[in-house]
Amino acid sequence: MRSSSWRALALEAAAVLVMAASVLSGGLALPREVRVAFRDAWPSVFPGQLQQQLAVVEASVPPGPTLLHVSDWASDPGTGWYSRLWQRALYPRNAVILLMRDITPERIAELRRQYRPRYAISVGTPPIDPGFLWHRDLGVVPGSRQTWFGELRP
Amino acid sequence: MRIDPLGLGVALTLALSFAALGEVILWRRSLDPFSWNESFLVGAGTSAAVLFPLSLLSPSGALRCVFAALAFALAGIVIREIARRPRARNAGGNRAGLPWRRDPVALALLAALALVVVAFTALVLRYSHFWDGFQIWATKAQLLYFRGALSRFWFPEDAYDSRILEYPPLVPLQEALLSMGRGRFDFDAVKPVFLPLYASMLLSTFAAAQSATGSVRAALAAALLLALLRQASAGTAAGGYADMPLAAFVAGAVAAGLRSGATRGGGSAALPWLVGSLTTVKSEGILLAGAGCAAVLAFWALEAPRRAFARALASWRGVAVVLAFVGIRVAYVRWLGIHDITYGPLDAAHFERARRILGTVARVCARVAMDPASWGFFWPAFLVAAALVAVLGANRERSLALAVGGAIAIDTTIFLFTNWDPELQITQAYPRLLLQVAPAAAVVIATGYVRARKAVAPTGLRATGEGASP
Repeated sequence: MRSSSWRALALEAAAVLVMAASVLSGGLALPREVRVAFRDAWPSVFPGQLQQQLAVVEASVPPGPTLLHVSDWASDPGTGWYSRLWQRALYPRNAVILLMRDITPERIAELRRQYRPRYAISVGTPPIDPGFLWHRDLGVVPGSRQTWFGELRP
Repeated sequence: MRIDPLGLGVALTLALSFAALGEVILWRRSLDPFSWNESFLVGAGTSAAVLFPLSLLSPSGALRCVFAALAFALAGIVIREIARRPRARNAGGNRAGLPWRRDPVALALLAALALVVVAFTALVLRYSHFWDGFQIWATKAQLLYFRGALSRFWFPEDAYDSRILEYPPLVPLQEALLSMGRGRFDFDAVKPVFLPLYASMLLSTFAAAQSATGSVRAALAAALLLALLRQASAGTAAGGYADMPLAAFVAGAVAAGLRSGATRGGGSAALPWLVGSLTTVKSEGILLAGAGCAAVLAFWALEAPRRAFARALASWRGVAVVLAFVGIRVAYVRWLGIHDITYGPLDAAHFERARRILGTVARVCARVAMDPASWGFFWPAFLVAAALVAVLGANRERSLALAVGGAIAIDTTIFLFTNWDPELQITQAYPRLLLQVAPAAAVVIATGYVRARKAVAPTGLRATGEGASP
């Protein structure tokens, strides 16, 4: 066989190898991901339990007042996702002020002076009390922590 | 799976409206799907670019202005098509001119591609948003929808997330427009906007590879190589991130560059609009726009070094278009006045840190790019193909390979100046940066293969052209 034929054969073999590797990696990854998506993914970005908690808050808080949301990012990074879910879910009905870092009584007092929130949501194990007048336990959303909701003392 | 006929219908209408606006901007009548695809991207990119100036002029009505402009453009183009339809039919397509329909390999590639498209569609409609898809892009869409324009407002919280404000608006705009069409904003209903962008990415990759290689089989293989990447068709691409849309614009720009070479030999009217539009999708789009401009300059220099400057001057309209897009992007970032603390600044301390982490960055980037589970042999194949194209390719193809290599080099260099843990950030972000240029790389792979095949084909085959393409 002439050298050009060998080169042509090597080229075709390389092309088949590249395509086969792609078919293998994509052919494994895509069906696996489709299976995971249809088996495990939530149908909404707001999981069902969070929607139940949201319904409680929306029933208790009229449109307008600001809420303070306290969750400790340092002890539980997962709360960063859920705190923002609350913020986006209630926008523009109610503004939600997030406090995720440096949670101290002074910082809470500063935010209360600045934004004058009337209600608060606190997430943790156990949740921090940012100065509730009353509060109720909303339970736990999978992946998050215990959630309290209530009205703040004036 | 969440199938919302209204959302899908609005997304399709939106895509047609962008295409109509692109037709108006380019002042042309497209007759084939590739040209319509170009118009779609031009309309989408330009709508996103003008959103900022419109937001300054109308701080609560910019979104409605874009919506109205799209509606007018769609109405105008529909009337035009109805009025001219008989003539077009007479000019008609020739199905006999599609010999690849009898090519079993091409049909097998097409069938595989169709399967991947079905998988992507299922994932997009089944998945809710992933982190950036929700926290950045859909949240920006929510703000845009309720405030009616781009603004300086971000949710009151720890300051870090306000950096998201400066992210470009193309994906949020499309999600907000879809919400306007549906009559309400729903985070779970905006995902259909990704379907036309995905289709556009594959169509553009096919068009670009076909123009470069003259082979339908190689073009289908390029599109399939791209589609089989997990980064392109699953994961974050299905989770609402903006990297796949940016890849769609890269593919569109490459197709416009190569298709113009295949048809007229001159610059495509769409090319500067598509290069400029890269700045409207993601922050790093401005770097990719720079790579696109460098590719054009390299092409001119390779073609006729002494006339390169004269060609640049003669192409002043295109230069002005790209500069306008870049100007709007820079003005928007300056208007916001927000400093993204993820990178830099470029001071002595950061250069010293860059020197220290150089080895780590190179090692982790190479590991990520060469991971066969994610990429198969895609990037090694690109490296080989780029070398082949450099030796055997036409100037336009050499310029493309150079631009892709340059873009990857820039993307890699960025991590030298990160303020995050470099390994963590590279692992999270580098695959998405690579996806952005993957359509262009797929075209280079197909081109390298076809050029090499021509070069090594036995003399008899070369003389009859059998070695070139199916």
